[in-house]
This record gives sequence, C-alpha cells and structure tokens, in this order.
Amino acid sequence: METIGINGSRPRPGEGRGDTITARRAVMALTAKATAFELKAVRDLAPAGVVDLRPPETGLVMLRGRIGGSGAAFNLGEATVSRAAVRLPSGATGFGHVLGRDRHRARDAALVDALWIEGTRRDRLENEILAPLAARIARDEKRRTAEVAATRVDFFTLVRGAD
Amino acid sequence: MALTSAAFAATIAPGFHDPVFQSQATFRAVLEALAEPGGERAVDGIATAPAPLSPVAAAVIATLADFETTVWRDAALLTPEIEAWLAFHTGAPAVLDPAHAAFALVSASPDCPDFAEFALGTDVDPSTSTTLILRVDGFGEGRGFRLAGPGIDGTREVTIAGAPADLAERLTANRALFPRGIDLILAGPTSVMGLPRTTHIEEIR
Amino acid sequence: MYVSVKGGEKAIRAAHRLLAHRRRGDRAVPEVAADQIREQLTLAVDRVMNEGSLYDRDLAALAIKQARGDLIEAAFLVRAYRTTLPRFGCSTPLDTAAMSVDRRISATYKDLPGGQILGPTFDYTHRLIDFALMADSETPLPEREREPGPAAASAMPRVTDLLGDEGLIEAEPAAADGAEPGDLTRAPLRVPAARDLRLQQLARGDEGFLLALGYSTQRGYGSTHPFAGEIRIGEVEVEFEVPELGFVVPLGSVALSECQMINQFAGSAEIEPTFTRGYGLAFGQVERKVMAMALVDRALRTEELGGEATHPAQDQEFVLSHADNVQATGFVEHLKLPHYVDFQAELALVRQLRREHTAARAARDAQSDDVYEEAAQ
Repeated sequence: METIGINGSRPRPGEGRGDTITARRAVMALTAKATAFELKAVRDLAPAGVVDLRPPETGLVMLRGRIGGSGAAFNLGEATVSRAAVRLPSGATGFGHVLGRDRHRARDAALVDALWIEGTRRDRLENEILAPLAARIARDEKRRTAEVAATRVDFFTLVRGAD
Repeated sequence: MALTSAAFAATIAPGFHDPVFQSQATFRAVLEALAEPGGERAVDGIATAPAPLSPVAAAVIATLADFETTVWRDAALLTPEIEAWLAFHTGAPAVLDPAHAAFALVSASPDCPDFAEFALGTDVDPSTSTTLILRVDGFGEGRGFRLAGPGIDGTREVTIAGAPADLAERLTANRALFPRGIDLILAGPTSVMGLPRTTHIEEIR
Repeated sequence: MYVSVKGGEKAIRAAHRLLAHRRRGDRAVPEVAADQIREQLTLAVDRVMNEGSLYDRDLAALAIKQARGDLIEAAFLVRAYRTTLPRFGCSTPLDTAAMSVDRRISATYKDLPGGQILGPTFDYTHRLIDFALMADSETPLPEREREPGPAAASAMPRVTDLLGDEGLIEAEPAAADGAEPGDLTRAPLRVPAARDLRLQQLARGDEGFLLALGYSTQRGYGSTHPFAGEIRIGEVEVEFEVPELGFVVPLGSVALSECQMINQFAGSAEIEPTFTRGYGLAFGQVERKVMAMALVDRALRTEELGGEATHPAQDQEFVLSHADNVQATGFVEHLKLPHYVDFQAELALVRQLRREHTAARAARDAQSDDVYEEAAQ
C-alpha cells in the first residue's frame, strides 16, 4: 500500500504540477477504497451551491491485461465503475471514480477531490476523513499480509549420505 | 489534445441534468427522425452548451458520441470551450480529417465540406460512414424539398431554412453511393429532422 | 401452412410466480441474502463474473440468487445487464507483477524468490465432507505471521522473468506502437484471430469447456509438455486514464488469478530450442480456469509455432466458436421454442416418404413374386 503523508504533509497546490498530481492521485487512491460510510462525512464539509458538473453515473471500464503478463495488451473483461464531477462555488472542480455501482460514493469521492483542490478545508478533510481512512486501509492491508504470510512454505531439506 | 489544465474544468458548462432520461429521449427522437425521414422530432436542447454549438446539436452529440467515436467539427466550432465541453461530456476524440469522423458537427452550412470528404463506409461495412449533424435555422420555412424512399409513404414535402444552397444535389450524389454514404441529421432550434442516405430528394422550385 | 403460436400469457405469468416461489424454497428456512452469497459462495461469484465478463461482485451474487444457483443463467443475466451501461473507457494494462498476493506457487522452482505461498487453497484438504459446517460453529480466525516481511511485488519476481533473464523462454512481444487490442464485444470474432482476441474469448469462456479441452491436450490430443511455472492469485490496482484530467486515476483494486504455463518447444530451423508460454488470466480466485486457459492458449498457438493443428484444442474455429456458454446455451436451448411450422413440414415429408417407401416395397415384392413364380414354372 502506497503510504501518503497524513495531517498536511501533502504538497499544497502551486508547489509544482507534478507533485500536485501525485498527491491528488494518492487522495483518489484512498477514496477509491473507502466504503460508502467512510466517505459520507464529506457532505458535512461541502459548502452550499455545489454544481453537479457530471451527475453521478454508472458505466463500464474495460480492464486490460498483458499477454503473458508482460506483452501486448488484451481486453480481459469489463468492470462496473461509477463517476461524478462536481464544482464548488469557488470554482474548484473535483472528480470521483470508483469501482462498482454506488453513485453516491462516486459523488462523495468527487467532493473530497474538489475540497482537497480548494484547500481551505484541508485540515478537517485530513483529520475527519482521509487520516482515519488511510489508517483503516493500512490496518487491513497489514492484517491480510500477515494472514497470507502464515501460509508461506518453509522447506527443510533432508540431507542424504552426509559425511 | 487532452485537457491537462484544471482551469478548463473550472469553466466547463454542465451537460444533461438528467443524463439517462434526456439522452434516451434524444436518442428516441434521432431514431424516429432517421426512420421517418422529413419528420420533425422535438429535442430538449442543452441550453448551456458553449456557442456556437447549438443546444439541439449539443444534445444530439452528447447522446451519440462516446470515447470510441471520433468527432469532426467545422472551423466555427473549433473553440477551446467547445473542445473542453465535448471532451468532458462525451470523451470522444476530436479529428481534423473529416474522412476519419464517426460524427461531424457543422454549424455554418456554407462552410460544410463536400459530403464525399467524410467517411463513406465500405460495401462490407457501410455503417462506418460519418453521421453529419448539421445546424439549420428551422423547419416550416425556407426552401422546399420533396422526399421519397424508405420510411416515407409515397412522397413528403418539407421546408428547411438555412441549409446549404445545394443540399439536393449533395444528397443526390450521396444517394448514388448506396449502400455507402453519409447520414444527415438536421438540427433546428428545437427539433431534429433526419435525411438518411436512403432518401431521394429533389428541390421544389 | 399457418399454425398459431400466440397465447400463453397467463401461463407465463403463473410460471414466473411459481419460479419465484420455488426459488424461495421452504419458507421455514431463512432467505439467503445477496451479500451472504457474495461473502460465502465467493468462488461461484468469481465464475459468474468471468463468464458474465463483468467484474462486479454484488451484481454476480444477486444474479446467482435470481438464477437459483444456475451459474450459466446468472452469467447470462450479468451479460444482459452490462449491455445497458455505457463504456467510459479502458484501464491501463493491469500489472500482475505488482499483485498483492493471496497465493503464489510454482511447480518448477522450489526455492523461488519470495517463496511458495499457499493461501486459501483446497489443495491439501482431504475432500471429506465437513459435517461441522452444518452446525453454527465458530470459524477460527486465521493464523498470522508476526514478521510477515515485505509483501512487495519486487520481492516476488515472475518465474517466467527468471527464465527470461537467461534467455531460455520466448519473450512476449510488446504491441506495435499505438496498436489497440482487438475487442470481440465491438467487432465480431473472425478466425484466424490474433492472440489478444483469443485470450479475451477464453477469459469469458465456459470453465467446463476449457477444462475438458485442457485435459484433452494432456491425454495426447495435442500435447504441449506443460509445467505450471507460476500461479498467482491476489489483488491488483486498477488505473484508468481520464482524458479531461490528463492523468491516470486509481479506481481501486480487483482480484485476479494468473497462470503462466511453461511448455517445452524443440525449436525449428529458425528458432533455437526454448520454452514457450501458455497464459491464463481471469477475475477472482479461479485457479482451475486459468490453468485450463493457459493450456488451451498454448494449444491454439500450435500453428504460429510451426506445428499443424490436428486436434480439437488446437483448432481456433472449434475452440473460439464454442467457448462462450451464453452463446452455447442460447443455441441449444432455442430448440425448445416453438418449431410447430417446421415440424409440420417435416411430418408431412416423413409421411410422404413412408408412403413412397411402402409403395416401392410392394412393387419390389410383386416383382420378386413374379420372378419366383417364373422360376417355379
């Protein structure tokens, strides 16, 4: 799991476009893995007058693999994806893309993105939504890794005819 | 070109406020317009579409185009606002060569290229031709045409304002290519009219 | 001849009601919820996602419930649903080398870097029915490694890459610049089909059909001398390029199974002896499916590797045309639809043929009687 700085260690807008995109993608990676419940709180942070630039909708994304794992791409099959785009009164525009058919989750993810870009409520966004979310994901990942690692085979070799 | 600037996103106007139902209603209107050539079908246009993209043409292209279809635009429509709006609401790649267009948006009809410059399809895959969405001033006034062909019981007379002066000649040449050829959707102020490649057309003097 | 085939609306309505009632089963038993199917019949859900060609666990679980557990019917429901949705675009190719693994084994190297990780497998179970599952028993929590070490993908190179570093296995060519992979949901599949399209068809193909074909190659109908080089199952991040953003956004992760089958190849006049590959990739935990897929993928490469396609598993037309169980069930099951007019024609024809047959036999008998009588005289 890619870890990201919590509590304001992400770069601020204007620190360079590359950094901003990296940080924004990290926020999106978190919201994409959030449950509907974990994201719902963002609605309390959103100002009045949010415009639904793209009303939440569900569609498909074709998932591609690579031949032999590393060769040319091929179309494996589709996945359901929900997306939304919102604009805050300040003009900050946020995008939400999540696997699955939960359109509210996509809109909430777009609100998180918009608020993060706008920057004025970033501390509350960090403390109330992103930090707990990142901690929960890291905890789940750690537990899963430990459970899987317990099934790793330790071979011990019987030596024959040692002298 | 992909829009990399958030500044663009900040200026994009909304599209359909209810994408599912509005695009279905528009699709139905276009379907009926092409099934019964010369009939006028009401379309709820997207008033917020950036000018000079007409609200009805905007609704039609937002309904028909997606990331797998290419869109060609005439010179008047090559504005950054329209570029951004189309990219956002349809995801369709823009093309500069009309021969590579799945859809073409024409706003100023005197500038409309010869129909043969668009994709005409092949005898095996006639469906790969361009569908032209041509903005006109209105129906029920202007020049008169007599139509015949599939979807028309006998003949039908229509009047179209603001179409290219040589519309009948262009469509007659297009008809001669059948099964190849473009399909034409005329976008009026509040409605569409279909003139598919199967329709015979003559101007009434 | 005209035969009326209208009617039956009332019977159909009643049949739907009866279907719903039978689906519910004994009402004294609690109703199964879609999320129970999603969480507890996971491998059925995975199969439906593959054959329905749509990654959506909730939807596949609901389809299984609606289909009374008929997994082909469930895949059909999922396929029908997907046609109602617009496509937003394509993911960047999923990177299975960066998989967060649940299982990773190799039959070719014992001590491979990263180790053999068994994960949640049936392999070492004794296939004894566990009657404890009938009771409301507590399932113990899994064991945990205290120091799990890095799960990072960098610690788990692909087995085929290890062989590739020594040049002992064919390289997978990258796509020609800008070449988009073919998509059989957009253009009808034609044979011969390129490997990208073949893999797409196999990934959505019927598991039983692929299993039988893969098995046939092992029993001598087109042997490829396969080794399971590596099987890995786990979560892979999905990324999607959003044109209006100009960068790739993360969508979350999907579960995948991958099988790299390594096959012996004696070489040809031009090509040095080397190992060749068969590849399997599919949604969820579907180990049998990806192993069979990899066998069939390699068998379908027979001609491109200079061989002659003589067995069913090597025959593209045969394999690709019959792998899709939604198509197959449609064509097989259409036979129960009304064929009254066709059959009336057949009936009339058979009756006429029988009359002619009888007449011909009578004529023949009469003739042979004449011959007999002549001989007697």
